[in-house]
Amino acid sequence: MKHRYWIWIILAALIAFPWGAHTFYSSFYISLLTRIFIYAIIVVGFDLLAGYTGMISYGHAMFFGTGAYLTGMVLKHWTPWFWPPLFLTILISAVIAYIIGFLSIRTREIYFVFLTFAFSQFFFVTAHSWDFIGASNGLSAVPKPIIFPGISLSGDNSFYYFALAALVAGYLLALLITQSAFGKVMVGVRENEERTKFLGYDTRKTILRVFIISGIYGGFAGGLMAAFNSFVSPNLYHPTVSGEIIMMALLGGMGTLVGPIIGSGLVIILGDILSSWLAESWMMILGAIFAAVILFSPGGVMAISQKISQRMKRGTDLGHP
Amino acid sequence: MDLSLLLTNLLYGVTIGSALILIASGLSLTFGVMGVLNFAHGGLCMLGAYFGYTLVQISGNFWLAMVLAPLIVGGIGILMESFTIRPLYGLNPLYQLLLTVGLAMIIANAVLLFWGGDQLSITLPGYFRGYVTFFGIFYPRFRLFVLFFSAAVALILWITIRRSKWGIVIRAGMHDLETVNAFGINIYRVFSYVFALGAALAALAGVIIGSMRAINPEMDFELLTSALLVVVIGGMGSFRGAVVGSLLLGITEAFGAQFFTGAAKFSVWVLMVVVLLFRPEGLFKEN
Amino acid sequence: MKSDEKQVRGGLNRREFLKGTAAAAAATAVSGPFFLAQAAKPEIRVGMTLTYSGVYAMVGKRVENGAKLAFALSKYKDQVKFFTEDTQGKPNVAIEKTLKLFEKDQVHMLVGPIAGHESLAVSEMLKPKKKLMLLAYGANIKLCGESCSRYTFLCGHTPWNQSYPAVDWFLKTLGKKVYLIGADYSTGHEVVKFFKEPFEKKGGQVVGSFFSPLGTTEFAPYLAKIKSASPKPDGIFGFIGGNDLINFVKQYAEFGLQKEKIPIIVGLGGFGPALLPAMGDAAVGNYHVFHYSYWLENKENEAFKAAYAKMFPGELADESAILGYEVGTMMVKGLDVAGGNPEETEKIINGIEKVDYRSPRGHIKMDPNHVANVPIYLFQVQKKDEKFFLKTAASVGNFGTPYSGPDAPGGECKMSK
Repeated sequence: MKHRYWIWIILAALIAFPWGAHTFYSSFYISLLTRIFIYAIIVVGFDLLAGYTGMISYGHAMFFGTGAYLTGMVLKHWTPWFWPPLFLTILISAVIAYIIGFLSIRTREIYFVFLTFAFSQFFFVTAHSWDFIGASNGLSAVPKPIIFPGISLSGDNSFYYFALAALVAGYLLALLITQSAFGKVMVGVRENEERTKFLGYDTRKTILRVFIISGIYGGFAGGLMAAFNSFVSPNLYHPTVSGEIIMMALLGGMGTLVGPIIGSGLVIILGDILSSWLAESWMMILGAIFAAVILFSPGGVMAISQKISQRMKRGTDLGHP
Repeated sequence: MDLSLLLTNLLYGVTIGSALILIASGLSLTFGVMGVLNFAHGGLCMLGAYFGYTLVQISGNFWLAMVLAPLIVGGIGILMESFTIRPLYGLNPLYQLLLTVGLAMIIANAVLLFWGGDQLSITLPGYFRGYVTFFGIFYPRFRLFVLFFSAAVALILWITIRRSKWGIVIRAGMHDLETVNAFGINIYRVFSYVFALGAALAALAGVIIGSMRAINPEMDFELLTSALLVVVIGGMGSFRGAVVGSLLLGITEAFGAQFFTGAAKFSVWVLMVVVLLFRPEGLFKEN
Repeated sequence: MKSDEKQVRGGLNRREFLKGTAAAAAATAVSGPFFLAQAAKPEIRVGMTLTYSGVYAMVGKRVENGAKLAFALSKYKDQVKFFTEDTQGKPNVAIEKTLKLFEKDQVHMLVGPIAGHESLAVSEMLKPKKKLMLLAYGANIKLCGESCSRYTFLCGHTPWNQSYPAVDWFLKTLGKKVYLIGADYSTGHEVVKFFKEPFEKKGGQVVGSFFSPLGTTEFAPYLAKIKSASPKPDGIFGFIGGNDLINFVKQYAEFGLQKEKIPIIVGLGGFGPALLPAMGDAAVGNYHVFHYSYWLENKENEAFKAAYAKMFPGELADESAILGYEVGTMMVKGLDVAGGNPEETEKIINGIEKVDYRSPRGHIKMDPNHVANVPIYLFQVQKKDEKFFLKTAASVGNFGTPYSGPDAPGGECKMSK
């Protein structure tokens, strides 16, 4: 498939990117890209749940925030090694996802949206008032984690590569899941849950499993965020963050795994450019773009690029349908 | 706790609730009839407050604002519905929801651009200021008005939906789109009007709220969440539910603020989760 | 110029070289001072991470204006370049934007964020990077004490010096009984705490208190409590900010408390020209504790107001503007000590540490914990000819914020030298 070449090219470019920093362009773009990678991880996880299984959650910020606080607290108060907080975050994210998922999977569609919204508000209010984790002040002075003896993620470049590697790994894992038999069931749930049930699959268990996986992605991304910013803010639980995640997935193209990555990049870069140029109206423009995409191309960028490549194909392959 | 304190809290709770009825009923209506959960509802309410403010500034007439602001915002609602929501009918309702989220962002930013970020407040005419005393309670005059006014509006709405021709069409449309269409009634036009009505109600609530509290460009989120809470707890699409839910929420807020300050915000979400889990249709089914 | 001459020397014959040199010399003679001056006058890049959206939008804009004014009146007016970013009041955005300003735009110093939790996060982040930040607002009490940093300066006010100084005044002017109110978050609790302890120590009595959640719009239940408090309070003291305060004041009047002459005293300002119109007559008779008022009568203030009106016609020179102005002034003074070289961060810091001057606020100097030592006043809202203004009810002296010993409000500051 043609677009596989594109992926290799872009990956190579991303790997080579930091070399040009300081000389050709400022190192700020490295942090910008790192931020995109981190968001892309949670959005890919979200896509598994929403794009492939059809369950749109308006509360994904709760995994982002929880992962961030867990990792932040462990790094700051217990150990600067990366692996303990990583395992802890994955474990606890899975547990929380299990509990909330178990409660939520009996609802669908709009009720699922509400429920996940309400749960994340819960976390939001708690984080703002719990002094142990910093309350409204947030958790600051989180140290940079150590991966291997002597190698810590303190430099901009090292974090960049780590985040990129994590994203690639996460994407490949997600790809594996979606292409497996389990993945087919996921899509079955999205397309027609009744029929899938009729075929003998336990749709509830499927959804729960995807919810847990999606939660783990979110928690991991949150942990990276905490280490990257050296700071965790309770606003990470705010519904606008959940909304951003949905926006990124939608703009890029839900149910494609690549779409979320593109979407994350788009939203963050757009946001950065717009907020510098049109400091006073960038929210409006972002909202307008979002609305326009929903109206005209709900499949996001991926759908648009597919249409373009189809048209191009039609142009070059004469005689082929 | 003495009786007058209890009564005061109760009365205040009911007042808050009555203002909420106006907001929540608009949301419930649009959802019940059209199946659209309008996340821009808070924004429309906020627009009503801002337009109300400007109208009072220009004309000095409070009643003019009460009439014109809902009309203006209702008009905006029709535009919104025709151009952005209508194309999405029949598609996954979540797309409509997300669209309204985008619209909400636009409205919030537009408000900031046009009116600036400073706090504003609608000045009330003289006869609304001050308070009345009865049974040892002090009750601000304007809030008494809000109580009666909202009750009147709610009553009118109730009668309209139950009795009038429009009401029957609306309720039928909720259940069976095709049949209504078969009768030759342009269901899409009905939808537009319903949406406009919801927007107008929100704007009316906005003017009232803008007279009781400060107006700022962030108020839409709080308004939306309150409306959502009411609609979920009371039952989506149920007008009766919106009324009961609003009163419940208002009283909870009034008493909660007194006694459990920190837990107040918390408990409201717990309640929502509980309702969604065990009785997602809310207290009242659709009517 | 020098490189041009080298080029000429490198590739031409003698006559052309002489001609070229002569021309170059003539050009240098004419433009020499200009170019030389340019070489000695480096660009000064000042970053600002303020809030331009939402409720604090106007505050951000006015702080920016104030800072710009300070530079415009200084000798650096042609060298300075400003880079502004919107933090939306969110600490994580503040951090991102701060990094952007220092890394991409290469700013030399920063006018820091407005909210207390933003400023703490940014200060902690800038400490290891050794980058300088001055705060107009953002006075987190921890920054005055245990989180103090060589690279952070608080130029405005702190929750402590907005409440403690009011204690003696209250006891002397109003009475011994107070009702305490606060917004239910760190600043609200801090302001109340810093008033309550000394107040009770000096024989005062707290007849009741409440903390309202942020964003409370219905204060009726709380006002009912105040009304039924026994014994009756002589005044209501505390901190509720912005929006919430407007609602509180309006409803307080509706409740008849204004008629009963129980004034509200707000720490950290509150009855500024930006909020007064929204409050209306309900505000009259109340007080606030602050370090500045638009209506302060001194020649520095008159000069400031005139200059501000000239540079920003139609804009309000309120307390946000003066704070921005103070930050800008201190940056200028720091630059003066560093010989105008913005790269000399350490020298600039030394300069700011030694500031001691008269500003529109009064006499200002910087304490060792990098908190500005400012004059504190009690202002009362009054109305004359349909216009609201603040009368200076009392001037209670200069205050910084204590930073050592067990009573230090923000903990002990161990400043690294």
